[in-house]
Amino acid sequence: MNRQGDDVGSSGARSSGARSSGARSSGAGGRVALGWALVGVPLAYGVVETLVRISKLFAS
Amino acid sequence: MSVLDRERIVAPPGFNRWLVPPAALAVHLCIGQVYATSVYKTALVQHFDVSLTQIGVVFSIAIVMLGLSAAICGTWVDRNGPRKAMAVSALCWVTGFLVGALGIATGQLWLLYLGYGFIGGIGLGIGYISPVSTLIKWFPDRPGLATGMAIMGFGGGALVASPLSTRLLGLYDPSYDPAVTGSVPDGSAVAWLFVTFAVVYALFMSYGAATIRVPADGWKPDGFDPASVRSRSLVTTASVSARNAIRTPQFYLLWIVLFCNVTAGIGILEQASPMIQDFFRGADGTSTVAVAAAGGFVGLLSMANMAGRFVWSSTSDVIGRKPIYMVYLGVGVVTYFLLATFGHLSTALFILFAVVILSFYGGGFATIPAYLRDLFGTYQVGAIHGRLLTAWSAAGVVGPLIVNGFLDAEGTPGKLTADSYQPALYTMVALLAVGFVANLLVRPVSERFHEPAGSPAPTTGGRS
Repeated sequence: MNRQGDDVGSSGARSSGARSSGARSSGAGGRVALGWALVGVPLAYGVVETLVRISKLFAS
Repeated sequence: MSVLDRERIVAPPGFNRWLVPPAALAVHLCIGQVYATSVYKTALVQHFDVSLTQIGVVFSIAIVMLGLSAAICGTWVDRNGPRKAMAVSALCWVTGFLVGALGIATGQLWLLYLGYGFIGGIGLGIGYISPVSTLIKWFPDRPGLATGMAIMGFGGGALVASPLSTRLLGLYDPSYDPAVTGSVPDGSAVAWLFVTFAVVYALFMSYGAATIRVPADGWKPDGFDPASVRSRSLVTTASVSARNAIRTPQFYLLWIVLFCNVTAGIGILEQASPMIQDFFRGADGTSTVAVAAAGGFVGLLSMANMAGRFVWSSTSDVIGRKPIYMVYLGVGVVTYFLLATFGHLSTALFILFAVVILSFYGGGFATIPAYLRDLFGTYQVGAIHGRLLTAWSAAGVVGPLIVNGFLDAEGTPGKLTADSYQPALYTMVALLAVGFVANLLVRPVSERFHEPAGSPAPTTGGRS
């Protein structure tokens, strides 16, 4: 059975050896971090702007 | 074979499934902009010299097209895979902005209807359902968490687009100052805003389409035992086609559940800003809640809506889908009743009740795909979800009708009080009670609707 998942490069590691597993693992980890940053940064901007707006509710 | 085809996006061994939620979020964050149209509504009214209702039609067309395209294109999305669906969604959404910008620049309102409303609305519907079934397959152990993350993005899209629009409008029209009451940007600034959104959203949605992958046939996450799914009540490992699903009572019960939950949420969202002011209007006719504070209340509700999508949907993985809807609808009935009856006694209580209700509203949206997965399996869950979203479109029409209808009968805007809202709010309590009963009646789908064992699973990676 094909197994991909939480452990980055898990099945690839089994077939290609520990060195390639490490390289793939860090590369995939970087892509995951980049992907989350790409959506997380604008979302954080929206949340902060909204919190500023919300503060006016509690300031009154 | 096109790079957009499902066969080209089957994940290779070692693919990290946590790359999929950002891809889904990239699409949902973009299409969530549809709930940030209020920022430039007044500017468009002045630019076209038409009524607010005529501009509001643009938004209504978009939401109706969302429901229709999700219902009609759901099977196509399941068959062709998420990348092609995201690409088509991006094309429609971006074209919608560009045609809309052309309409604003040339003073042709019908182009705005056609572009942002009709074409963009198709992009909304396809984009909304495009990553859902893929996420459910990547996270069979946590489908509520997975769909909650993506659908949270739809709520978050407005949080991002709203302040960004305000800043960009100030940039494109230096005479516009959002801090000054009555300051309105010109039409040209809105046209450039649309062009800017078209470019930014094209990039973001392309990232989503490029990154999305479907799992290979038979894939399952490490440590996940499908037997654990089978052992839970109301959770099936059988497959029900979209065509058969709409013949089951379960589909219509869930349609009623979603319709009631969304209508109740819209009951507050529709009137949030004037509502909090009206609830705390003194005998002299002035409200103790300032306009700026009311704006903060709207922001708080948006946050509750977004957070509810993630938190409640994730919670449903632990306590189950039927029980979580018991909470949304049962606790919702009580909270709505308390808001209508005692909300005027304290601003803090009013805000607390409204936040709880809006978090359930968001949770209801985000949990429904996982509920569908539980009842009908993963076979054509995207197509079934698309058909169910017609409940959203219906609620989008009925919710405002109930609220505005009752309020129109109670008095004129600016003079309403908490008592004026009670008929509308009690109607919502009754609607939530109907939804509660509908959820109570949900039972496992009869085996006669199941696909024969061994039939192909069109939504998995290896299918041709």
